[in-house]
Amino acid sequence: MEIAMTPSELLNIEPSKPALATEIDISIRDLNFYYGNNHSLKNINLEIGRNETTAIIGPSGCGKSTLLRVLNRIYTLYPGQEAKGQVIIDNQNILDPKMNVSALRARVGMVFQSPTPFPMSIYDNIAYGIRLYEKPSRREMDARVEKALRSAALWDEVKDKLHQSGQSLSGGQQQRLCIARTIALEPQVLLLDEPTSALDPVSTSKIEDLLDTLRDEYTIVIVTHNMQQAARVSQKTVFMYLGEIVEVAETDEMFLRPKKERTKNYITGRFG
Amino acid sequence: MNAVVKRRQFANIIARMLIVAATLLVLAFLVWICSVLLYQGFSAFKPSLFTEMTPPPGESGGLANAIMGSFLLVAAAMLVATPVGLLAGTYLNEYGKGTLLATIVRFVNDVLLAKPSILAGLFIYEILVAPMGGFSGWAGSAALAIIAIPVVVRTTEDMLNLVPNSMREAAYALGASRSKVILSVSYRAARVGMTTGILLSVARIAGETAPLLFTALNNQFWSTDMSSSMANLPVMIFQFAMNPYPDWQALAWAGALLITLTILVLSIISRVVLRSATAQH
Repeated sequence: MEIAMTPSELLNIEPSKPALATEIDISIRDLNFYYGNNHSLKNINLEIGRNETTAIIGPSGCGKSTLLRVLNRIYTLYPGQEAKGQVIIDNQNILDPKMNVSALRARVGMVFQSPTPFPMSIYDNIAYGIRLYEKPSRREMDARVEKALRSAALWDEVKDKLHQSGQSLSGGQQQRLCIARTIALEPQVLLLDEPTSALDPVSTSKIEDLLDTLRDEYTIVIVTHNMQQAARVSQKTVFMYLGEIVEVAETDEMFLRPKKERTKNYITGRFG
Repeated sequence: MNAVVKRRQFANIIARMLIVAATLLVLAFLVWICSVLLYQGFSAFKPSLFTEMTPPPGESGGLANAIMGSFLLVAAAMLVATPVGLLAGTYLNEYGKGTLLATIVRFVNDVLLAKPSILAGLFIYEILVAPMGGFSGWAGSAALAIIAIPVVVRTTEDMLNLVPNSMREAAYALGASRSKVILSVSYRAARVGMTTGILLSVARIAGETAPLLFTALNNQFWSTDMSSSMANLPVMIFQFAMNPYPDWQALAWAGALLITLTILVLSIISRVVLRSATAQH
């Protein structure tokens, strides 16, 4: 659901924190992506700043989720999907076939559209990822689980039922559990693919508040259908259309003074 | 009220009558079969069933050797069918999705699932019984395993298929390897359904007669030696029920009741397990 808004109405949106003077965390250069013969990302060039939140918006099918799925190479699970070009993180091209995807995914975590708690306890959901890489002592694991749940603003709600099934939580709690599970690995980048589209407004605003605090420690890239959300949580916004980047700008700038006609039409709800 | 609505209501009444009649017809036969079985079976029920051997003609006896034989045959069959079925089902859903090999395996498995069970007996007779020169418990188990494997393969694949792909992706996104994802996420999410599949395949083979006629045959005496012919409930029922001696016929009824109760208990257990596990979520 998109609500038509004029740029002046958007002025009422609480301004998000000003962007920090940023270093570049991820550089995407001449990225092209193919689903079989379908050329779904075209010559993408984009720099994503460290410790800032970048929102990717655009109509369905514009390639925004695809772009996100390149950044942790989750697309490689499916034969027939291919990315060409370069994605540089820490001076490494992660599209290099020699790249260790497991190590990459520990650094670039991902949260999905629908909450995906594993069929195990809340505690084990968090410990699962940690156990993939290290074998901490019981006490240290307890501390790491608590820290992750606190960072995801979930600790107070679950501290008395850590050993209940993660699937017994509400949808919003499940999504925060998934965020906690991802940040338990202390990644550098957090990718979120429409993380609130399956949630009610109260849960959504909790997650948005959470994203605001997480920005101090993580580089966040969020794909969203909801333009007010993009305006609320991000410092930089990328507008995509038909597999191409149409416009990249500071979020306030983009929503107040879009440079391209197409961007303006989209954010004012004239198409979508 | 207009004519269209009336016509629909009339059609609805007719359809409902037909549906209820069909249900009652099926239920009537089921109740009939079960009540005869329960009556005849319980009339023949006595503690000595579990202690005495199947008797020679004209004498009384029990089913101890047949019960033990059936248990061993089914247990040995499941020891083979469970791992093979689970692994093949895992391949079909987790590794082979969309590949030609998986398509072929799935098709062949469906054919095996639908084949008459006597074919399993004839096949094992040809490759095991005839070359080894005699009926044996091992041959019986092999025939039962051939019947159980496709059931386990199918339910394993179906149950794994129900695990949402987003859950697997979430595990991969944490950096988990494929084997880790399968063992700790897919299996965990599907374990109840997979267990149910195994229990149901036990129920399926516990009552199989035809494949055992050509393989384990029967044995009048107590035997736990899987390399010789072996007593079992289905073949015992088949032989005793066709005999003129009332004692033997009574034993056949008791055996039939035992098998039915076993299958009933297995089905109930699998339902209860399934329900309690789904209630958790």
